[in-house]
Amino acid sequence: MARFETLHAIRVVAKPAVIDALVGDPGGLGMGSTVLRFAPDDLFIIGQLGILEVSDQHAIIETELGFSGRWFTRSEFDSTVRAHMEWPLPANGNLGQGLIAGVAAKVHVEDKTVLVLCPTSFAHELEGRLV
Amino acid sequence: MRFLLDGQAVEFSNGDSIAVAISRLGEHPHHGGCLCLAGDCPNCVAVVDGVAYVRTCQTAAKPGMVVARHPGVGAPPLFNGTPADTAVGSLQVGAIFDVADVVVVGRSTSGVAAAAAAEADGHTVTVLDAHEGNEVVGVYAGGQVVVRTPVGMRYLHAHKVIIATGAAEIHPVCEGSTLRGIVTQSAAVKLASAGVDLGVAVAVGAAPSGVDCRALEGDLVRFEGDGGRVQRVVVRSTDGEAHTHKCDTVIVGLGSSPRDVLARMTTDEHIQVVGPAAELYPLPPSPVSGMICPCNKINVEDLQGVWDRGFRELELVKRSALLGTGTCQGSACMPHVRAFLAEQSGEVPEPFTARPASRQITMGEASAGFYPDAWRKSPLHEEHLKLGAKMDRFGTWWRPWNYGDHVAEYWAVREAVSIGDVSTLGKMVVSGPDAVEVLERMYPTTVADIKPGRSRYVLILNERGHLFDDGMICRASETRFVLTFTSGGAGFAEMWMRDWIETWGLDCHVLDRTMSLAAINVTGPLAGLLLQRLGVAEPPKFLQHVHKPVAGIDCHIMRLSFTGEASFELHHPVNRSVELWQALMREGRDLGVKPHGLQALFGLRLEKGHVIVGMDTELDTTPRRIAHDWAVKMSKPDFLGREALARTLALPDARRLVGFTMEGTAPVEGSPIWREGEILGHVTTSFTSPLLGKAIMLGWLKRGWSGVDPDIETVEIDGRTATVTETPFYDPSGARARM
Repeated sequence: MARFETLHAIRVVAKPAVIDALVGDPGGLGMGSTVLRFAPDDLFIIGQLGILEVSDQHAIIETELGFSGRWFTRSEFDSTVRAHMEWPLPANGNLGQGLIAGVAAKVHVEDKTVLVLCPTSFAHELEGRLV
Repeated sequence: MRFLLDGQAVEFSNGDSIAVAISRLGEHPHHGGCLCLAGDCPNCVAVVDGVAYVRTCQTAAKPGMVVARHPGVGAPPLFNGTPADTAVGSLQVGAIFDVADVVVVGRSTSGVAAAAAAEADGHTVTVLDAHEGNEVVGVYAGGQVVVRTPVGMRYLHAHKVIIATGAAEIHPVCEGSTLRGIVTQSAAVKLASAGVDLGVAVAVGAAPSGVDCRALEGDLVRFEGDGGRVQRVVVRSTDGEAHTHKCDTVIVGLGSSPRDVLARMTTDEHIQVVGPAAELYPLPPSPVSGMICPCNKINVEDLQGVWDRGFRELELVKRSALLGTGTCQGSACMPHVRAFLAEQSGEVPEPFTARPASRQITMGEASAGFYPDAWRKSPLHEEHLKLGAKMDRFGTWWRPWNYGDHVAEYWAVREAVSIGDVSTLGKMVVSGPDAVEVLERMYPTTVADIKPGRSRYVLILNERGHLFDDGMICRASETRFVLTFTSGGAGFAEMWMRDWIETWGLDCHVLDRTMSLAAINVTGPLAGLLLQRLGVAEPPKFLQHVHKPVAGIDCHIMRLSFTGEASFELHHPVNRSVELWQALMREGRDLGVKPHGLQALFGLRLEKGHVIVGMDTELDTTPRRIAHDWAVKMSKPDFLGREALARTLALPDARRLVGFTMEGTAPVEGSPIWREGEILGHVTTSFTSPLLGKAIMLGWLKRGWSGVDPDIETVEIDGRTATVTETPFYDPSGARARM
């Protein structure tokens, strides 16, 4: 069974131009962080450790603990997850979302790995279905 | 090599299908009927390894297979065991989703040519052929192809689908057509090449090459035989004389019809039909007797009866007689039915529309790729189980219904202190210079006058002024708010808000915090004391909210009341939820703390007359109908639903959600409300109140209600007299919630 762990992340909701600037400056988001853009105004940052400078006084910046995820190697992903998706995998570096085994989920694709994440409240369902 | 047929061992050779192996014994895979050995008819279907309706002519014989004939009359028994009982293993079938450029169905001559032409045009071609393990059973508009494979169902989205499935041989319909020993021309060739002894074989129509048989001139009249096996065939020659010929096997060559069931599933620009599947063939003579539908055992007399009752259209004849609805989906019967209708009406009807699946598929195959609903678990799920909670599904979540004694839970709330898991509530942060303007337009209540640190109950209306959710607004600062929604409404709320903010072009950010924050409701007259023990020296007053640590855990504490007692919702990070829950249970032990489930909660709030959106409300419930006009400020210039409310408020409206009380226990929710033999409405929610010692209810009166001075004082519910009663049933002044 594929175990999903809580992702400790920072959520930033701000003007799209502000988010553009953040994404365009990976150094500003902390080394080794994984940055997922859920929406033009909505950023999900895993592993961000430093102080986040956001030039939008009304931005919402919160610790996000509501998602669980698991990194799969490409071969693990193909054997465990792929058959449960009715939608094409996004290109490298991109985020995709849809149902995986009937559970609302997102995938983030990197060169050799794929991050699958879903709301923690649904993680037990996804774990049970990816067998 | 052997397999079992109805408990008897059957020898077979390499390459034999099950049907061929059975034919080699001189037996029939079913109980009789013409064999085509091409997968077009139902006459060889059997139960194979626990799966019914398997076409044995298309299934290779394998050592150890267990084959059972279907009953001669009626359907095979439903599978009534566990997956382990069947040799196919798990009944679950996997699904593969894929995309394709051009799909060609059928590696026929026309299919190969079409594939070559598509490749020459630069397309990538996928050829799917049943004999290669890719049996296409469905084609949908837009180019979706459903393929049955040995490893599961494959769903292919193609840019273009070319159907090249060829033509099927026409089956005979006449007296004796259900006997054993009747085969089509191509079946005869297959049997002969497999070394099956056909005995004395005669051919009605052209004799197939390579088969030792005698061709008979003339038209088929009937088959005759004893013991279920054909022994004679009667043919009418061109001179009009009927001639009887003795035989062991009759080979019928009655013409062809397009094998176009997949093509008839959709008319779509993505679908093309080529080769014999697209050709027009002459229909056979109109049948006069015999079985026309071997799937459902329908004979020509039945068809005549449908015609005599006035059914004329082919689609209606199909539905009335159930022709074309069996496992062959009309392949065997349709040429004959069309010929019959053409003879009767003088017009040749078009073939009927086909529906996926073209083949009998298992429930596992039909459900491949589809998953049951997913249900959420709160971070406290395991704590509930440890406390003996009976869990139930509610508003997409698993929630505790009770912990074994909902009355004890009720009294803990009314007399001491209790905690409930409300992590499921929707929670949202909005922030921006236009936040107040957004919320003023979003909600029917005033927002601008809510001071930071204060909160307000709100209804949420759609553009028609109909209630679809409710919740709280908590003001954090001039430009920042925290909103709550019901558990069921949380999923929709973010989309709703973002949509309207974008539509209005206002500057306001939204973040759904439902998944990141858990919440525990601490409620009861001792709730404040419990919080003090856990470090909150001054718990907030009614409708205040503060950020303070509780048991060392950062909490956003909202003071409100759904139960009718003092209540504090503690919103906190999901990863600290178990810790907080356990601290509340531990520190509240001597206060009599108990957890409460939904069963107690629903009763507690009903005593207060609080409405649960979705349970007490209907799709067109307005604030007036539930006596919530106080939560609507029509003096505001605009809000969602205002225009509709302004219009409808001028109209009379007799429908009202009303409170009732009744001696005895609560009736079933949904019970009709009677008065003088007429149903006036129904009970939405009910509860046997431990405090009041009687049943209390909310229910809709849809007519007969005349407002503040009701004509109706009593009604009949569950055979008993119920009294219309003003709500709240409990603590109407609300003093206890403010304690």
